[in-house]
Amino acid sequence: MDHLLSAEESAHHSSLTELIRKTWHEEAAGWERSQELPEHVIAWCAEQGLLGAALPRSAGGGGWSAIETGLMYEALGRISASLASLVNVHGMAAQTVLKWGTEQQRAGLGAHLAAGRRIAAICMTEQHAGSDLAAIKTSVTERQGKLVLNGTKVFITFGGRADVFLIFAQHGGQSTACLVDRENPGLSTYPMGETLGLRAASLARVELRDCVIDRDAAVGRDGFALPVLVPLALEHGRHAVAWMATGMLQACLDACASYAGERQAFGRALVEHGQVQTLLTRMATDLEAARHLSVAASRALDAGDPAATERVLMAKYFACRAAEEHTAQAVQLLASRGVLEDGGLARHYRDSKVLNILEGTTQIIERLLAPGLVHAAGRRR
Amino acid sequence: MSAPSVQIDQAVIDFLAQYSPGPVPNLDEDLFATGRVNSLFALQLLTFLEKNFQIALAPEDLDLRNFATVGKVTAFVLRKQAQAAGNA
Repeated sequence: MDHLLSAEESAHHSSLTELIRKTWHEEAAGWERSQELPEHVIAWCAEQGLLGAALPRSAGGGGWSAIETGLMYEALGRISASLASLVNVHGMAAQTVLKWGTEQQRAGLGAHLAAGRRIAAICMTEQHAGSDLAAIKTSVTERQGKLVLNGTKVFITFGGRADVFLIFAQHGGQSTACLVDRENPGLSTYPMGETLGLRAASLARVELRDCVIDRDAAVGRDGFALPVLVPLALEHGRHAVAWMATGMLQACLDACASYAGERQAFGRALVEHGQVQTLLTRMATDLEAARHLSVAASRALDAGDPAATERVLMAKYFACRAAEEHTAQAVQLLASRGVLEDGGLARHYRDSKVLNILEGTTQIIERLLAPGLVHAAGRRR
Repeated sequence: MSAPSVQIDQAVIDFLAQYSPGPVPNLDEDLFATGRVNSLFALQLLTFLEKNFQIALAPEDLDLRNFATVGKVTAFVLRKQAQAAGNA
C-alpha cells in the first residue's frame, strides 16, 4: 500500500504491522478459545500507546492523524478483530468524552482513557433498538439532585471488561449520554453467550437498575446525544472497521497467495489453475479498492472535510462486504487447512460477518447513502 | 444586516444545498424540525462550521438555539469569531 502513503506513513505502518504480528500472531487463536482478551494484552496496548493513539496530545494521547490511526487498525485487523475492537470501542468512548465532556471529565477520566489506565465501553444497542437508536428505552430520571438510570444494553463490546461505560439514554424525551463506573452498585454485566465472531471481545449485556450517578456524569447536553455524539462516535468506529476489514483482506490474500504458490494439484501448482487465478485476482483487486477507499476516508477526516462522513461510510461498506466475500473464498481455497481454527482464516471468516453488522449494518449504510446519491445526481443535471 | 452576516448565511445555505433537497430555506426555518436533513447532518454541519469559519466548538455550544436555523447558525458563527478575536 506504500504507493498510497507518504514515506513516513509507510514506515509507521510497517513498524506497527511487524510489531503487532511478531507479538500476537501466535497467541491470537488462543484468545478465541478462552473467549477473552488476557489482561497482559490489554496492558500491552496501553503501554504501546494504541489505546490513546487517536486522542489529542493535549489530553495525553498520541495525537495520531486519521491515516496513522487507520493504518494501526489495518495492522490489528490482520491479527485479530477482537483485539482491534478493544482499541476501537475504547477510542469511540474516549473521543466522545474528550470532545464533548466537561472540563473535569476531560482532565480526569480523559487522561486515564488516553493512557489506557482505564478501559471504556460504549453502550448504544438495546434489545429493541439497534439500527434505530431513537427507539432506545434506557431512561435517566432525576431524584434528590442525582441522576438515576434504568435499562438494559446488549452486545456491548468489551462490556465484560470495561472500567467505565458511556451510556446513551433518554432524559425527559431528549437523548443524553452519561458515564457510569463499573463499581457503581446499580450496574451489572453478564456475558452475551457464545457468538459467531468477535469471540474474545467480552460481549456483554449491561443492566442498569436504579443506577445513581452525579449530575456531572452527563456528557454533552441533553438533546445532542443522538444527533451529534452518536454520529461522531460511529464515524470513528466505521473508519476503524473499514481499516480492520482491509487488514483482514490482506491476511487472507497473504495466506491464499502463499498456498496457491506451494500446493500442487493435478500435476500443477494451484496458481496455474484458472479458478484459483480468478479467486486470487478478485481478492487482490478488492483489497486494493478497499485500501483506496480507506485512505480517502482517512484523508477527508484529516482535512476536516464534512464529506468525510460519506467517505467513511463507503469505505466501511465496501471493505466489510469484500472481507465477507473473500474470507469465505480463502477458507474454500485452503479447504481442510482453511477450516482449522489455528490457521486464522476460520476466525477471519466468522469475524468478517460481524463487521458487516456492527457500527451500522450494510443495509443501514445503504439507507444513509442512497438518498444523498440521488440528490447529488439531481444537482449535477 | 452586515456583509459578513450575508456571506455566512450564503455559505451555510450552499452547504445545506449539498445535503438537502427542496427550496432554499428561509433564514428562520427550523432545519431539523422540518425534516430537511438526515441523522448525519448535524455532525456534518458542525464539521463544516469548524473548518470553514476556523472556530472550535465546545460542549457548551451544543444548544439548538445555535443551529436550528440558518439565521441562528450565522449569529453563532459571528459570536464565536468575536470571542476568538477578543481572546487573541
